[in-house]
Amino acid sequence: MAIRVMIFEDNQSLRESLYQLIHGSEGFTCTGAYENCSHLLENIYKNKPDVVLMDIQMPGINGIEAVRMLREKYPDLKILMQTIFEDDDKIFQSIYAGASGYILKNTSPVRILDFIKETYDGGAPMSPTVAAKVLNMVAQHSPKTKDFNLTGRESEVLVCLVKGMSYKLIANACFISVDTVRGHIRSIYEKLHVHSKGEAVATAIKSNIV
Amino acid sequence: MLIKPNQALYRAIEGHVYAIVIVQYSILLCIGSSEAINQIMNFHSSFEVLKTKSFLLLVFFLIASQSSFAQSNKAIDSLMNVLKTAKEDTNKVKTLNALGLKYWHKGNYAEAIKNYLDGLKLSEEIGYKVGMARAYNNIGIIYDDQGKTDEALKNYKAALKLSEELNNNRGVAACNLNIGIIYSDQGSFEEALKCHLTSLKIFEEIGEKGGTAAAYLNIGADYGHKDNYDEALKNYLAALNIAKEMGDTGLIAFAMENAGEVYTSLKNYPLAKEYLINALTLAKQMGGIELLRNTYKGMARMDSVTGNFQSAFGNYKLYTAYKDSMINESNNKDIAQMKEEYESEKKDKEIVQLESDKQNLENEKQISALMLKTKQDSLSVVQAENDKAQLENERMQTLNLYNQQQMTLLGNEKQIQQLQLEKDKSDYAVQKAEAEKNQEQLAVVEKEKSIQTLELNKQRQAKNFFITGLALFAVLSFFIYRSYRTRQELKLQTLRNKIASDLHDDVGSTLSSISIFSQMAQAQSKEVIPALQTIGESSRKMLDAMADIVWTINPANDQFEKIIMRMRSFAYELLGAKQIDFEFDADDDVTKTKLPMEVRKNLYLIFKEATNNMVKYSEATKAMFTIKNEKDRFSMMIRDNGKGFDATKESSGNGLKNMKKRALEIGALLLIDSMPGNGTTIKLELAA
Repeated sequence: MAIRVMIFEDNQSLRESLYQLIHGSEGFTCTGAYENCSHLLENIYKNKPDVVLMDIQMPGINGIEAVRMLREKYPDLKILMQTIFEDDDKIFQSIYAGASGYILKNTSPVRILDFIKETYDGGAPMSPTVAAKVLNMVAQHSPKTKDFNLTGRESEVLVCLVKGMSYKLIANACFISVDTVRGHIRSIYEKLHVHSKGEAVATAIKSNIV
Repeated sequence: MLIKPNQALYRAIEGHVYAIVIVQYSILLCIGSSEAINQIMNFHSSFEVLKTKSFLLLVFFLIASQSSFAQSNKAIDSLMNVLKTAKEDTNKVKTLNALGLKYWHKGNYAEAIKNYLDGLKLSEEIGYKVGMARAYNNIGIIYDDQGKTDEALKNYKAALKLSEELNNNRGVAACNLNIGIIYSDQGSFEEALKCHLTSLKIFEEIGEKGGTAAAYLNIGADYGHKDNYDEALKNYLAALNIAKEMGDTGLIAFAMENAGEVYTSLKNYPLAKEYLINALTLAKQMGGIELLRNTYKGMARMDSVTGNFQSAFGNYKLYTAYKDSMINESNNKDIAQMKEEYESEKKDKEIVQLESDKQNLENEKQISALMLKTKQDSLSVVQAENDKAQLENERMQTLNLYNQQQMTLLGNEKQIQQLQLEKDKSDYAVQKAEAEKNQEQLAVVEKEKSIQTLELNKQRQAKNFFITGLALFAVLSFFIYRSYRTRQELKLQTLRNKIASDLHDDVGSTLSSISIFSQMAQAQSKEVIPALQTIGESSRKMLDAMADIVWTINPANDQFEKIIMRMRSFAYELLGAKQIDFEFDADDDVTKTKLPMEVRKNLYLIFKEATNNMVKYSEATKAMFTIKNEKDRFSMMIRDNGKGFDATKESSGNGLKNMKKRALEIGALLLIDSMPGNGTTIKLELAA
């Protein structure tokens, strides 16, 4: 079944090109390409995509906020952030807000499709910088946020990631399979999400929404 | 003046005041003025309140009431003075009448009657019939008060006859009223009613409301005595109406009280209660003892008839209290009267006594005169002897006088000495005062001096503060200026960054789209079009370069640690795509290395170029990155197990040439070690 992808990108050329790329490729279908997030929830509700490509820098509601909004309503939706350059902070913020992963805009088109597929399958590519940041957070035990409760294994994987090891190398180093590595990375993400989800719940309780 | 007396004194005075009050009470009771009594009773209840205020107020009050007590005496005295020199005319009659009234108010009936009788006699002499009628009336009242009804009736009738002769309607009505009351007292109710009806008719005719009301009241009472309650009520209500018209509260209360009583007799208890309670309220306002007594009696009676025995008992107690006070009043009146009579009797007796004493004295005088004569003869002999004794006495006296004078002199001398002493003392005191004054003046001068010094110091301090303040201000403003400048620069920098990133975003996105389109175009075409490939690659390369620039501009990325991270990410991305396994080894010490920006930038670019080449050409499957800092020598090494290339050949494209150029720029050593089929190693060394 074709993977349903929705695009949010304010640059017209890119938006059009992505649309054509995805829609024209086998196994993929583009359910919509939007310039901004003003009707974000409506669009998602109407078209029900599997994966969302979200630009970070957009007028009005920026990508990171959009991710937060989406995460509340659709916890299982896969969101891939698109960034033009690796602004570590923004990337980390998006993941913290609940993104499933990110890709650089200068990725070759083929890679883009690969990434989308990988995300759809549950994988979540994490670059070393992001991994390092995650480690930092865990190490600091910042008082604002709860403990991430990373398992020992997950921390090991993170460290390897920070070193820049590929999945295969990590698998070798930790004596586990590549799939297991993937699984660990996924759970790390989820822990970040849960954390962000947890915050959302906390806010809701505070404002008596729940 | 406000004095705060001390506690003990206050208590003593309080006791004294209280004693005065008690005496006051009894005196005023003797006078029999119910109004005064009420005043005192009120005063008693408010005594507690007055205690808290200035006790002088209290004393003033008492003194005032004392004076009013004295005043009636004064009035009598003044009237009596008038009488002493009055001519035998109607004015004298009136004065006598007034005097009689005053005595009657005091309860001194004897004196009252005496004056009335004198007035009557004089009126008869000068043919002043009005005066006669009035006198008869007043005398009648006194006898009435004393309970001597026959005497009273006699006098009233005399007054009536005169009033009829004078055609004085008012007088006739009034006399009839009084006569009716006597008949009622004697139990002849029919006679009483007749008189009262006559009185009523006349009062109504002449339109005198007070009299009419009084007549109605009395008629009501008469009917009441005859047990004709309906008629009684009618008259009482009539009296009440008039009293209301007149606005005479006392009369209203009286009428209401009587009406209430009748209602009780008529067994109309609700109305009875209403009237009695109204009467009570008014009676309390008025403070009339008789009224209060009657009202309480009426209420007690009604309560007991309706079975409210507790309330009845309460009202009865009050009734008794007032009755007793009235009895006391009347008793005291009697006592006073008796006292007065006794006093006057006593005085008469005293006069008689004095007279007889005088007589006795005269007799004695005569006797002694006789005795003297016989003695005188024997006296002359004694006389001579006496003369001698007298001379002796005179001598002694003179001596005494002389002694006295001596003593006086001595005394005077002593006084003089004392005065002298005092003068010395005062002189000394004056001197002392002068000395003290001088001292004080000195002290003042010193104080002034010290004030001046302080002021000077203050001024100096102020100056110092000012200078310091100025200096601080200068420093502060310098810092503020600095921070302002810094902030400005920062703002500028941020702005630059924003421009860069916006530009980058826009351009980059479009470039990315070019890359995608070119790819798609290629995919759609059946044959390979190299141009499309180039387009795609170029656009991606530009994108990459832009990303780098933006990244390096960002001051947050100045640390070497960040550059290492970026290298790692780059390798990860690039090699990951091509499934090349790699290891990136850069220990912590290295990351802390401090390198200038040019060096950092070039290092990164060299690294990128090398990695790109590797990925493009080497077909390697494994790669190794090592960055070390040993013994002040910085080194970076990139190794792969690819197919290698001939490093000696110059035609290796721009890539290698660029790398070499860059290494030269930062003064680093670039080593390229590659052999076909043996992998490639690129090493960079730098003196740190």
